[in-house]
Amino acid sequence: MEASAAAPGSGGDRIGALPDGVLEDILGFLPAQDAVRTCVLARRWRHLWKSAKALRVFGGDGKFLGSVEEIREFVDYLLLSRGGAPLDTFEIRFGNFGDSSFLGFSNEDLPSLKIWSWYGVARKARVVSLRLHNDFEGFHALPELGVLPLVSRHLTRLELHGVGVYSSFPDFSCCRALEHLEFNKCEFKLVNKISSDSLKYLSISDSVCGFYDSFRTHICAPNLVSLRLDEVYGVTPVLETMPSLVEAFVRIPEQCLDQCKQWHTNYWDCDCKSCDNRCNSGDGHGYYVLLKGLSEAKKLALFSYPETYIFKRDLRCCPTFSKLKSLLLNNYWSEPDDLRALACILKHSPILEELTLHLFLEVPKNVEEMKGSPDPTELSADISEFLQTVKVKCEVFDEDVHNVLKFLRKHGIRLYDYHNESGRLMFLSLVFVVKIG
Amino acid sequence: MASAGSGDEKAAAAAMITLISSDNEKFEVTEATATLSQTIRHMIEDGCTDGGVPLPNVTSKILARVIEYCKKHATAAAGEEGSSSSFSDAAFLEVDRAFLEELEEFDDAFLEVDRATLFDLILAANYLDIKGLLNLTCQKVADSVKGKTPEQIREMYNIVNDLTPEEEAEIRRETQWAFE
Repeated sequence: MEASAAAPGSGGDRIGALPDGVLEDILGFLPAQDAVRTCVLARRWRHLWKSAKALRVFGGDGKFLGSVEEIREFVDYLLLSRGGAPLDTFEIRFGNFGDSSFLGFSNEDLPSLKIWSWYGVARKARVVSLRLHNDFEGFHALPELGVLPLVSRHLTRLELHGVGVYSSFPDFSCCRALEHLEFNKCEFKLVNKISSDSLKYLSISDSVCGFYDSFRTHICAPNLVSLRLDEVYGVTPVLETMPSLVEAFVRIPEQCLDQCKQWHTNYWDCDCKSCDNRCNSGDGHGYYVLLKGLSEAKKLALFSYPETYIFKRDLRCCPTFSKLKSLLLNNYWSEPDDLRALACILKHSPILEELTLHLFLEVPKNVEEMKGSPDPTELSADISEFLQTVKVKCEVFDEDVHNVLKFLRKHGIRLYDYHNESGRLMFLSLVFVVKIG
Repeated sequence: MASAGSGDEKAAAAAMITLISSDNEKFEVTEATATLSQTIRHMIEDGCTDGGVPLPNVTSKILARVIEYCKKHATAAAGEEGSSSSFSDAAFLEVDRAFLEELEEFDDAFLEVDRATLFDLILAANYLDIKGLLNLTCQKVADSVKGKTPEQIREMYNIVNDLTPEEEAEIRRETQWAFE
């Protein structure tokens, strides 16, 4: 390849034979300090790092940047020295300095985080990822990104971990290319809406200090394809209409605020209204929190703890899941004895093909699994005629499990093929093998 | 799509593209494979692929490897549609995970090449604008540099230091904050 032999006498194994553009790609895969240090390699390398296509600052990992002060100073120098070259990816990842007693970064620790993130956006980054160690188990002034919405034509992916999200920040109407949004261990305050017309994937997870305002935050993402709401504490947000939704995973944590006050007495007879004083009615979305927004999905996993009323409340006026093919539920749905929640959602899923029931709240060590399929001649009219596979997993065969099996039998579904999952191989082969087209 | 060869011959032929290496070797590939290269994708869009696509910067040895990569990842792209899931929940992901692991294994094995070949692959990926392959190969070079001192890097990659000691000292002072 003569074309690449720019440097005289160069062999094919010389990094100097690569054009600047490629070296800028390579530098972008290095942690920032390694990229900067290439400036002394040779004259050609002196300023090359400043044009690296990605900027990745990893600190507090036990090797580099051993204190909050060092982190602050390094990033400030880095961004000032780097100047204005465009960026594709801006990534910050700060760990716990190898110290398990370090709970996380506070707003005082990183007062410039907002400016740093704006730096990335202003340099036209497509991907911005800020991951800060956060083990705080309660309210804490997490490093914040300001209250103003981001403005970028380039941003496609935003990942935030351990930061405070306030007010209008999650209004992404000025980020028209944004498709992928992740909040992990974030705190949300005074957020009326998380909104984006372009968003396809949204994940909010492990948010112990999640949503604790007196109102429900609305999620307005009309073009969302995939949603994950996993262990989001506080007040469960309202999902608005999402016609393109394909899959959603929702796990409501035990300690969420949407708890039924009648839990110990007449839970399933309680009307929910008395428990939910954050109804937000009058906005056209009315009675639903989650299920209406999820009703267009093809694939759903819905987990909850018994005390929380969100699904129960939505089921009172259950929407039809007209595209739903695959459904995974935990044992929230199999209470009480008449299994009315399970019966209700099955009745409203007319083309369901696969049903999986996890009859436990936390995944136990030992899992028993039963598989089965409906007998078309016996199948109840309240169950999708397209149903092919039913799987039930449980820890032990107790009364609750028998109750579920009885329910299924009554509706024409017999379970056979029983496995004990002590063998790992068997476990892998059993879970969710049917593809959804 | 990627697994052409059966079915209507005409349709299959229409979707084939001929790539010609610098040493004049011809490679027949499906359009799905070829269009992993943005450069070739644009040529197809402009309708200038009749009679083959000459690639004067890429030798047959390297082109064969590049095609091997594209074939694997084109199948992957086709397989992902409809079945891919963004969930990390095990219950949802078994199928996709096995699939991704296979792809990762392929990539790892693919990178088992000498340095000269690696750099040739980088240049080809850059010229053909194949983002996945460029990232994969650049990452490999970056990994080899990570944590090394400038002296070690110079030695490893035959970089001649053309800075005077005074210049080097000055640059080090400027960037003191990045050196421990």
